[in-house]
Amino acid sequence: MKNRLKVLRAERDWTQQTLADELGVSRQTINAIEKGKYDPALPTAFRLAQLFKCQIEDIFEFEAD
Amino acid sequence: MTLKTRKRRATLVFLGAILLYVASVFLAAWLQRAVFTAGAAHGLVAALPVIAVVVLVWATLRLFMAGDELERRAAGIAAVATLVLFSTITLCWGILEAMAGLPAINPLWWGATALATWSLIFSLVFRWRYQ
Repeated sequence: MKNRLKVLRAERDWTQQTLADELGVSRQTINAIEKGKYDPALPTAFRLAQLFKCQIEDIFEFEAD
Repeated sequence: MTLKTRKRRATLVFLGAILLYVASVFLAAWLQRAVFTAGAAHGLVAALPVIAVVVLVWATLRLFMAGDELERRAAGIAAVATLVLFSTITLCWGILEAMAGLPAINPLWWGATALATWSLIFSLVFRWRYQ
């Protein structure tokens, strides 16, 4: 799964820690999501969409294997 | 309560539970040797660490739940890997102990090694797989 999390975060000038605190996850989790090494659970994806005021599809892009 | 505070508290409770378990094992061994040397009380005292095990299981679950989703996933992977590794090793060791005369190993040593192995696998999974 590809995502635009790093771009969206940079647009708002937020650090990984700021975003992690907002979501209630660790900074390492944000880092793993940004690097595409971890796909977040659905509730976290929805919280991200709420936080960035967009749709989940605007953040995550599904890539078929 | 923030994630960090929740994790710090759960870790302290977990470490306390480990200390309680180790203390209960030594206490039970001492009571059996020095106070209740025979009879039903001798057997009952041996079950003393079971109470500490219950506390330890509760503290472990609390520590697991205190993490976020990625930490829980890494902890789960590490737990499964440790379980598979240790079931295989202890099974093989048990067979060789009975059939080839390998020395019996203190359960405390197995427990401590399993915990250290879990910690190591958790770090490897968390840092190398997900960072």
